[in-house]
Amino acid sequence: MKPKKILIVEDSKLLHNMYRMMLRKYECTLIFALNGREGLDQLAGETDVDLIILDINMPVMTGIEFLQEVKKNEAYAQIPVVIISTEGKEADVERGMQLGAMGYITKPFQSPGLDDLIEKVFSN
Amino acid sequence: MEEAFQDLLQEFVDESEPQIESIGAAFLELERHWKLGEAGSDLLAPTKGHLHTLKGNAGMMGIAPMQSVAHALEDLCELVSKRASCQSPETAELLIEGGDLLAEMVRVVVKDKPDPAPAKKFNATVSEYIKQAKERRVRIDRRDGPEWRSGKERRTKPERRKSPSKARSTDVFFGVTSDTVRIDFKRLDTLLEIVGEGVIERSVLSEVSRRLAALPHDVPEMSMLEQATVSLDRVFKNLQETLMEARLLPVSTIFGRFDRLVRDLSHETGKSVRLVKLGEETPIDKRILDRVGDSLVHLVRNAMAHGIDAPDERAQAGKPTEATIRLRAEHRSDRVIVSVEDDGRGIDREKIQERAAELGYDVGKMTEEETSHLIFLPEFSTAKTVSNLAGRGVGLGVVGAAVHGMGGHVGVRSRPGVGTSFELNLPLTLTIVKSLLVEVDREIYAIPLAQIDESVRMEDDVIHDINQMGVMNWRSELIHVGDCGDLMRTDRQKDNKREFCVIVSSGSRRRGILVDRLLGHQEVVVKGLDDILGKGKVSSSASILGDGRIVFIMDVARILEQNFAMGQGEVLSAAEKVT
Repeated sequence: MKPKKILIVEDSKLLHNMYRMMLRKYECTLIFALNGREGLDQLAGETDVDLIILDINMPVMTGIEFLQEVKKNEAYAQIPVVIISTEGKEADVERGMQLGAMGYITKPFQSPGLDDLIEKVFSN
Repeated sequence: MEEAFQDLLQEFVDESEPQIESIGAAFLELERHWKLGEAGSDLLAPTKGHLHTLKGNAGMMGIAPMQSVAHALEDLCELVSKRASCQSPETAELLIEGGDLLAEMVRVVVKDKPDPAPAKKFNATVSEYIKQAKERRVRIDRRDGPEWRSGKERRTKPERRKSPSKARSTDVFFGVTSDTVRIDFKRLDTLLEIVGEGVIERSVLSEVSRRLAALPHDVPEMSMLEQATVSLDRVFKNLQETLMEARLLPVSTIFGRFDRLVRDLSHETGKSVRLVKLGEETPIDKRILDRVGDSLVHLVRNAMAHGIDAPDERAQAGKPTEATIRLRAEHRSDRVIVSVEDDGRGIDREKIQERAAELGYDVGKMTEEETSHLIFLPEFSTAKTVSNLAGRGVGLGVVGAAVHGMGGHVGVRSRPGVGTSFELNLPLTLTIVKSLLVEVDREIYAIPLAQIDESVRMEDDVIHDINQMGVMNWRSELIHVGDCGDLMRTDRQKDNKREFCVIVSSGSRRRGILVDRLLGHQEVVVKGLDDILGKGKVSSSASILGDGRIVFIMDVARILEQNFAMGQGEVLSAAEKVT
């Protein structure tokens, strides 16, 4: 797999470090945003983002709101999005899939689960 | 938990602690709202958010008990936001209990996996509680007619609590979160240690400068050296002060947890008490804050258990039913004074004198102040009859020891029927101690200036012998005198004349310590000793002097206590004459 650029939109800094650890094997560039608004700012400043990992539960701008904005914008609408959800947020996940997310995984998850999801996305 | 995530544990704790703290505070706030019949719903949303994030993070870290408790609390919050009838003391109790569990778990998680049992039990309790709440509601919905009382009415019925509140306050308190950088205190301590070494090197430089100045020929570079040394001095002082300030925390950091403690104890003892906090912004060195917290808890518990009288007692005495406990902190020159005052029964002086007499103290000769200080002796707390002491119970010996160990002292004032006030007099910082250096038998010791009353030159015949103990007259007071060499077990050199006597005091005890020479004042950097090497009982820390020697700092408090415990060294009143 050629090195990928992944945007991670997640409000917990702890999880940023977890992602760093889990995604190390993929030789990718990671960009982080603490909420949806920041995520949009990051997208505006980057080119060739290969994947967005999106936490559904965030302050300032929710995951769904962010996804709506992304899909509205031609420049980003094609970037595959993967939703990170938690138990009890099934409605949000459904909405997200309707909006065009490629897949989802529910916290708590382990590396293999994330790997499977990412590989599935990149093999398309 | 994945191996790799072990490294992230500290980060998890750093991120979760403030959240857990907010959650706990929100629950207490909700309880207050619900007592007044208000919903407090604006508190629920952010709290649910915190719980959700915490649940997610704990889940990712594989800490199942924290994840499940957060989940249970989320469910409870959900219940409460949907059903006003559940905004009750019972629910608040559960929420607070859960918050405490989370706090307890985050406290241990870095070292150990949290015990899953309490979490399991709590979750089961919550499940059952929610289930019953829903069933009750269903039943109630089917009722018609005037017998049904609305939720609001139900809340105003006085709540008779038969069992003491289950939710206990935790013994955790967190550091202050500020808007700036979050730094590990250990790192700050390291910085201070480095500066400390710098101070010492600087004094070596001073020493060199001094010796060169004493040499016969003069060289222009000499004054350069002197200038540089003086500047360096200023720089280091600045650095030290700034770093020390960084270690200062407002006392509110620990005062905060007392709201909870007083609330719980109030329920437990059935006494109505309000807590007044004064001087919360007073800054104290973190290291002292850590140690003084427990002492304050002891004092407040004692006040609640013994000091404060029951409502009917108070009514009879014409006092307001609600008792008051005042927690106060203030600066006085270079000391910090923290006090705990209550308007309760006061200390029963007779009982203390009785007990003291049992222990062999000559109470007839003691002043009021000295008598009061007896309650801080360890022997008092091991007494079987201590429960009969109206006013104070066990734990004060611990407070006394802890405060003395920090280089501070305790004071107590009391009036029967009116109240009691405990005062902890503490140093501003533990790290640098201005001391007097003394020499005895070629050994050098440091005595903290704060504990020295005066140093006097010894004339002949000043010391008298009473009961094989040396005694001398100091400012109309007769004090016992001991030999520093004996105390510190030096090699007594026969020709050494003890030319000076240093009068030291701690609390209400005072004695003179004979030494050979006084070497002047010095700021010594304190480096704690883990295990006291043989000088065990009378010194507690060492420092390195400018010329490289290690010196022991005499632990005056311990010296005085020790000798007092052996029945010697009491302060005699001025009335006693010696021929």
